[in-house]
Amino acid sequence: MSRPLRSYAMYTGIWRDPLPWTAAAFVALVFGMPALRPLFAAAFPSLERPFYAGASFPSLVAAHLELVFASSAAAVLVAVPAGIFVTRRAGAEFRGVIETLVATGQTFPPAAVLALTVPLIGFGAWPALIALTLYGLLPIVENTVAGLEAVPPDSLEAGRGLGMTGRQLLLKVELPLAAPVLVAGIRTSVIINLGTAAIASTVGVRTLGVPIILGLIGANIAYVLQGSVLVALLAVVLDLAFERLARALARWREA
Amino acid sequence: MIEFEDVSKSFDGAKAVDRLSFTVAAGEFFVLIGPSGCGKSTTLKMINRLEDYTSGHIRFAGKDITEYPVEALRRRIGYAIQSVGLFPHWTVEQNIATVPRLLRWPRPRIRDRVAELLRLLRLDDDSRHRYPHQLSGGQQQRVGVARALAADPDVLLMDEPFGALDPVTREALQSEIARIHQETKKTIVFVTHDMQEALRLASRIAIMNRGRLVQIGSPIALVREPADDFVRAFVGGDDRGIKLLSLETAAERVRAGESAPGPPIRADAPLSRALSLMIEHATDRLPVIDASGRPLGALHLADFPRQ
Repeated sequence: MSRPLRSYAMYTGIWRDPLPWTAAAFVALVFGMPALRPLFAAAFPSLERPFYAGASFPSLVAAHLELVFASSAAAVLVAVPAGIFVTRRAGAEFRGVIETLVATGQTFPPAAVLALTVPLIGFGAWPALIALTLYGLLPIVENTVAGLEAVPPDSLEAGRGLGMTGRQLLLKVELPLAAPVLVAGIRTSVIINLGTAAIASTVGVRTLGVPIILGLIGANIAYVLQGSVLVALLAVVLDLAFERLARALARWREA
Repeated sequence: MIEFEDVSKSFDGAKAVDRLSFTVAAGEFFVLIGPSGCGKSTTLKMINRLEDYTSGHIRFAGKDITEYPVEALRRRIGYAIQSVGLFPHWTVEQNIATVPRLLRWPRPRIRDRVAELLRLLRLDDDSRHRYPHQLSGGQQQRVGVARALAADPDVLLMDEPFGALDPVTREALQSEIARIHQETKKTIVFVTHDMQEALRLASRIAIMNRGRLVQIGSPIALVREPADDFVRAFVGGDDRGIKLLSLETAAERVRAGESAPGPPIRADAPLSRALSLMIEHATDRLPVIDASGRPLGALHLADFPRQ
């Protein structure tokens, strides 16, 4: 009986939902940036070169996303198991240590981590990857722990009493129930990394930060604008996509 | 079916459960009762090893419970608790199917079993696709009981399953569990602190106090011959006479063939209700009828005190 109502909401939702048109605007801007060259020339008449042409914007976006996804995936692979571990009986005593460690990881400004890792392992993608991964751990660990702790204790007792093994309880009950909170942590981590990845260009990694850094060094506002608009729009698109994922994982609540 | 032999559990020196020995026979409705903190829930949870014990032996179906792999033991023992503990992200159907899915039953068999249990617990067939938060408290506990029964366990453990329900819903579910016990002949071990509930459901009652078993026996035996002042107070104190009447039916005191004026009472109604009707209608006699309304005889107030 609620079905026709819901499909009506989905129909109107195409227009209300900002995700499709924000994504379309982003793609259009990435590929259509060269078409805006006359616009930037008119807006910044004092600049000798008002359009960044060092690399194509699609290639910068691809490199930027690659760095963000690699570092976020690494952060998830470390942080989720760590969060699970400290909420198990065997890992409870490590909880304080691990939470302090990941919190420390985030108190270091990423620029400082870059500055410290470059002398150790040189310029390039690795120091950036390490800095971003460390930086992204905290929200994921915290939300994994919070999500797992919010699982109703009576569901756990029932699960154990009905004969689920610890692993079945984790995979069938605890993680699905914690998933919306856990994904919210990944969302925060990815969005932070998306902005922070731009700084990685200071150690020679190709990202959308390249035009921004060059623009800042050369007092070229147009470059800064071209890079930062894309970073900002990308952040909005990814944030909306995560919001949708989180909602899908908690669909049972709305039934 | 279940055997406790000298079972104790100590907590930091204090004894939570103290040298418990009793046997629950197959098909029994066995009620553990006592005040809060008397160890009744702990005792129940020892059976499916959610609680461990410090000494003694517990046997299930003839074998020491520590000889079973713990998950296998639990899948053979249904478990229903006061807070229900349904999995909120699963539908009613998925919740009920928990243990059959753990046991990897084929899908059609699970579907049939769920349908059967929905009927047994008088739940709508449409409710199978609902989520727990869409159900009332009473419906949730029905699903909880269905889930506990799903894999046709030998024993059903129930820890104050109706304690959080309103009186009307509680009464309805008590009738359901009594009927299910009749129909399925399952062994039920049931924890409560409500004596009325215990007297109504139990075939045998074990009264516990401070971790010890105080008295064990049929409802009538406990009310009639309480072992000490604690049991006497617990089974109803000054109201024990009324409690006794609630355990016997009109059929047991009817004078066959006689007739009487006034409102009729059914033969299977408890004598306490007959007494209440007599007071209400200022009479000392009631006509007794059977389930189809045929007159059976008359009930006399003068016969009530008979042993």
